[in-house]
Amino acid sequence: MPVDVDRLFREYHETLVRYLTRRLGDRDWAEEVTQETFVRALRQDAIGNERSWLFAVASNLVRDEARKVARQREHLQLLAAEERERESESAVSGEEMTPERAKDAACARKALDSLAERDRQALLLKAEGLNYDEMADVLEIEKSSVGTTLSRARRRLAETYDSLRNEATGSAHVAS
Amino acid sequence: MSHPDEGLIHAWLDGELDAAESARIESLVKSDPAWAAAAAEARGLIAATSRIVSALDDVPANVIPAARAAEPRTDAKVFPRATKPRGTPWWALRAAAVLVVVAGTVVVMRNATPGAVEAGAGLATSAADLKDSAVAPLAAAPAPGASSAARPAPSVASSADRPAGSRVAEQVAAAPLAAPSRRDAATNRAAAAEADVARQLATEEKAKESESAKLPVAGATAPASVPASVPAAERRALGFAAKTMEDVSAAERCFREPVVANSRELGVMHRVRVGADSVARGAEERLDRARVPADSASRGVEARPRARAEASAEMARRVSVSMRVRGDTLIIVGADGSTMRALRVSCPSP
Repeated sequence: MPVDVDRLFREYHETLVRYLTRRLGDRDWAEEVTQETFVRALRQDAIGNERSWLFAVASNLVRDEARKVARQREHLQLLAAEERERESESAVSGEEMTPERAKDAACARKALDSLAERDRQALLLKAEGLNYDEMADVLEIEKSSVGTTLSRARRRLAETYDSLRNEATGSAHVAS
Repeated sequence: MSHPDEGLIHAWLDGELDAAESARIESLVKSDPAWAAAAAEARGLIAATSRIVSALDDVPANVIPAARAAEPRTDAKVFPRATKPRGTPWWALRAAAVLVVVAGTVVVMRNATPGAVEAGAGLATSAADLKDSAVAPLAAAPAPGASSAARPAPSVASSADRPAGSRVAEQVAAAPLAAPSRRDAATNRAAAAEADVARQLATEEKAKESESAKLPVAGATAPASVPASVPAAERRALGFAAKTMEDVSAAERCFREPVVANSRELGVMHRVRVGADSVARGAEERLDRARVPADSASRGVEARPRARAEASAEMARRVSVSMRVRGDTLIIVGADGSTMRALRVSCPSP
């Protein structure tokens, strides 16, 4: 029985994009990887656990493309700078992210990036609602190790984030 | 008093333990202060992690244009493309036949700009380039729909195979404008051309109405003034900037294929929209190969293998055009007025 990709798309597109956006820090890139993931699904005759299969494929695609990250980021930063310049030139006003939220986002990104790949993946998969069985499939570890992996990842993320926030707050006070 | 097992506590709080194990941990947490403290700390870590991960969803400021940033942020709208049904613009549902570039525009613009003849020659070259380069890899790209029995994959390449009633019998006529020496002059010319398009459309609408009053016309027919030889491939690699995602969706519906849009207006560097008829890889290849210079003298699409990131950056720099809709005609105008293409497209009824 062929894979019902339409249904898969409806059910998992949003969560995959969110997972990949958090993982990659780039929504467009995340959408591309998501689309490629569904293209792979199209080629399957059958898929066992759909959710873990999709997340595993998406994760593998991210890993395969990891070497491109640096170069892509350079381009994105360049384009983002151009965009900011253009936006500042235009007189259009609108709601913008508050400095505090921007700081939170930056610290969250740094903290996440500081984690080991497996820890990072575990956190993001859990955030998308995967259970321990599915996470074990994606991470290729024993189910009994998932709890330990998660506890370590959560602690490191929280500690790193707090440390970064404190640094940012401290430097802001010094600056003022 | 046993040493608390953090992994076990996290699994318990995540609801991943069976009933017996869960009861055992619960008992330990109630009776043992060390386990109780560890459980409390784990709860705090879980909550903190959730908050931190959610903060990743905030996109850096100024990347999202004001129009989109002003949209209410709700969970359901964070990823609008995932949840938002693709509405069908009224104009996209209209009509029958495809085609025509606005001959009037060509005439007006050529009369107004001495360099237009050269620009027209450049266009012919670009069409040939397209045929040689961009079309081949795209045509070779597998269509996901083709592997799905439930959903045949229509494509431009196979448009001749589609039933006449649903065929996008498009023809494209391009009216390149000579590169303006001054921005204002170019803008005025573009506006004039657009007005001319609108006038011609109105005239044709009337003619069509009176014609249809006499004869029932089935399917799409191309006006005789439109050269049938205009390669459909030309629009395959057409890069443009849409004002809204609805524009992109509408264009996709019309083109029956993915649309690559360089979309500063959409707040991203580029978007690769993949429709039902193609695959992501194909679209990426197109982004790789399509290069649409804004310079009218060398207008065209060049096949030049490039890294994707380089190509997207190139697209962002070079392609900055807007798209407007007049009736069933899509008018694509260079932001600097240097280019203009009017595509008359008829979309199949849903």
